[in-house]
Amino acid sequence: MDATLTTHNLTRRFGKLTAVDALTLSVPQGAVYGFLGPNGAGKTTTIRLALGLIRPTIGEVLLFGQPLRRRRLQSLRRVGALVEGPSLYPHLSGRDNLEVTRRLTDVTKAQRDRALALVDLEDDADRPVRTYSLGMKQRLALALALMGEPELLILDEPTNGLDPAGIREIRELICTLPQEHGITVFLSSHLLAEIEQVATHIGIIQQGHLIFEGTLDALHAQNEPQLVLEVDKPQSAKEVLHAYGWKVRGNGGHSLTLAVNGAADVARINMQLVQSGVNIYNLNLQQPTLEDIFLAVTQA
Amino acid sequence: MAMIYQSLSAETLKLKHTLAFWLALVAPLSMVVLECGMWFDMNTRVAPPEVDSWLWYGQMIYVFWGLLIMPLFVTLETALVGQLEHAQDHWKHLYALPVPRGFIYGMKQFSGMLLIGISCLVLPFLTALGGLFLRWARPAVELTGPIPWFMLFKYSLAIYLGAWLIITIQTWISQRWKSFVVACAAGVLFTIAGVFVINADWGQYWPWAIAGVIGNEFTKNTLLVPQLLVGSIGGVVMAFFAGWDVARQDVL
Repeated sequence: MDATLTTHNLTRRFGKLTAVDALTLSVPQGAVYGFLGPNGAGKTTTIRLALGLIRPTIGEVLLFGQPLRRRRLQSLRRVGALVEGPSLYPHLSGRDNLEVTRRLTDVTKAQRDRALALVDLEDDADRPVRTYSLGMKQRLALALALMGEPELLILDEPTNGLDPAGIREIRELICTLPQEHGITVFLSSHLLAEIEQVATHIGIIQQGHLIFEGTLDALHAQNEPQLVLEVDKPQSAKEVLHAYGWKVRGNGGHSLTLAVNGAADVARINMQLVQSGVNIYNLNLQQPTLEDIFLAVTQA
Repeated sequence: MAMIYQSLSAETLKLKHTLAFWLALVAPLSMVVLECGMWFDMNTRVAPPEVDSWLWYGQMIYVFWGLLIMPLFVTLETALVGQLEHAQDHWKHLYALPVPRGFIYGMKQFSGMLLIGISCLVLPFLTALGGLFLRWARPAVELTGPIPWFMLFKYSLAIYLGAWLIITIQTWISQRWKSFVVACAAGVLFTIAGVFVINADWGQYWPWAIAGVIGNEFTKNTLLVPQLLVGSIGGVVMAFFAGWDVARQDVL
């Protein structure tokens, strides 16, 4: 797959603070790329760099294989973006909000109305935006980003402040974009469970560095499943398992967690504990969630 | 050309239902009402014997308009236009569009100029209307002659051109700094300073005083070309500088 968005050694400093540090990432065409990182990791700065809102100190951004610095306008014609909160004029109607941007770009009225339909705002399009709910505003901002029928959609925290129903609506919309409209999505979010449900690729940034990039499957493959045990004598169980070379972590109470390599390890641990006189109440082999992996990776 | 037209129409659409738009009509109206109120109250000939009452009446309105009301109005108007974008953090959206940044700023500049231009276009009509009201309600003020339409429009245009420099400076301040207070405070301070420095030789070229200085020549029917050039050409130069400066700024 060709890369839609690529950065090479991208660095941005603000005085002594290095917000993005030698970041090299690649967003494949047709992917939903989940861009993760703790607060202050450099996600929004990276997005602003990718859109040319700020200039890099070192390095470069390529959009569709072209350097953004030299072909900014041509590249941005193929990009739609929602950076942080929605930028809307509250005194104007939803349709007029799109109309302002439409008049500044090459978008047709038919495309504007299609975008409204896509986010299901046709019926409310002529009401002032100040009367919209937060979810409607977020959907209108998405319509704004989608109006030019972009090939790349860059979304920074698109579900910020939404209730569960709103989050679900946005998630479902994002899921349809690559398949039905051929749009590549670059999505930054704090909501790891949401990312896990929509992303095909993941990039994890911490302190300005990209510490993981690859498919969601590759990320899971790198992280061993965990066995959660409940036993009658946790201290003895811990000593037994240590003696057999397992790395055990106590969860408090009668619960223990250890990283394993599959079902065969579970059987082996079961046997070792039983033979040592430890009774097991519960054995639960868990695949780590994206949240577990994220926390493990970023807190390592 | 089509792009310019489309962008201008986008800017005017943004002004729909805004205070900034209504202020363009309210500001000249308030100036005329203020002056008419004073003349109404005096109920006697106000103009010196050798000066036509219409010209004196026009001068009074245009001097105060140029020296005080207009600079304050420009301050408020440009600050309001700036807040249209700052309030919801629109710059990040606008500058991520496939449109040159300088062009977007230029349209914003035009938006402010358009609003103030509307005021300057409305002012002669309101001035004449106020004079006609006084002629009817207070014959003693002796607004008996013909309405000096040409003078009213000529000086309104001259004041407008002379104010370009403050329009561009205030637009730049209001776009460059997010705070409404900064934009307003700067305009108010510079306007008050204009009242104090106007009598100094160099004070005639103080950007916030130029429009008042030009308006003060109304009864003499002379145009202060140097001040007019400083105001208008200075405004164009400032607009280019501001466009360049804003375009190279990071959008954080």
